[in-house]
Amino acid sequence: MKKIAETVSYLALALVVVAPSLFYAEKITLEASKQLLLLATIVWFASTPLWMGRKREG
Amino acid sequence: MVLVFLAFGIVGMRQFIEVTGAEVNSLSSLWELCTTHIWKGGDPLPGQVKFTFWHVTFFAWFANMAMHVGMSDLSVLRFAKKSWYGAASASGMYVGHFMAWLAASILYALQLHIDPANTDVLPGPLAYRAAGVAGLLCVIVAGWTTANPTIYRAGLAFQAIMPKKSRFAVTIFAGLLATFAGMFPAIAMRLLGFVALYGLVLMPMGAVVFADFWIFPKLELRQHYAEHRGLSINWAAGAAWLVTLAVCVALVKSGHPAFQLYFVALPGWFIATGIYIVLSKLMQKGEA
Repeated sequence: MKKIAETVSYLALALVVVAPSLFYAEKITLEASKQLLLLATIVWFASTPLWMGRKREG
Repeated sequence: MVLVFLAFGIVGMRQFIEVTGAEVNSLSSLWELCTTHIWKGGDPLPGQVKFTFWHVTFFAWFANMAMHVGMSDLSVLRFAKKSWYGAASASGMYVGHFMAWLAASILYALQLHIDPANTDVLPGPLAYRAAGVAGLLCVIVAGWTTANPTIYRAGLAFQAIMPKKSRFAVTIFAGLLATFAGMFPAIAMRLLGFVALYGLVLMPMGAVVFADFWIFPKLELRQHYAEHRGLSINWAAGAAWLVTLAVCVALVKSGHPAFQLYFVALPGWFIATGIYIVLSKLMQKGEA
């Protein structure tokens, strides 16, 4: 469970850079970039407390 | 938070390309856009010092001098489980003061490019225009994480003056006082000078702590001398603090460009360290 949450967290972090990069490359609009950034932020804050600072399973 | 700062810069750069119609297809064309439209120089706002490259460099390292050089960080880092946690200060400064400032300057230059009359320095709207609600959250979280340890430190300081008061009460008081002060633009817009000033006030004490901990054992001087002798005041530390402040104030008052408020901390740190070592040697003369 923690491993999944950790992976989801890192994917959310990646999205924070990918979204504006897609806007820079004119693949998406600024509004879409903002929505993706908000999504990434929500996912990060939701998933990170599930694993960061906690001892590893097993 | 760090990556949202990066997002600000990427979005701002794209918007700059759009509003200027510049062709950016190589590093040299990107550099040209930067030097001709973003960081092109200009006159400062009335009443503000013109910031050069050196101002930015020094200010990036010394903006939180009170915490890092003045050793206020120790109020929080005393809880660190490993010594390398101290690197958090350096990484925070590098990312927060170099990368975030670069990104912020791109967004601000864009605002001026679109409307030269709009000189408002408002982080919230700038962040919202570039990154929406996530940008706003980033600004709030950045402020929150900076303010928390500072209010905690201020609470500790108040508690030292009023030991009978609870830490909760004095921390709440410090937070309310700072919030109230921050509501006045006359104070908030003087932040740069204020930060430099209070960093300067604490810097000599940081030098004393550094010398006492790292240099004294190498010079075979006794650490924690006042505690060892049961003194209520260590005059070597007191003199290092007061003399350094007097010298720094005199240098700033001299009006020489090399000794602006933003620069004097560097020579000041060496002055404070030197005075503390020399006076401590004199005080401890003849002692084993």
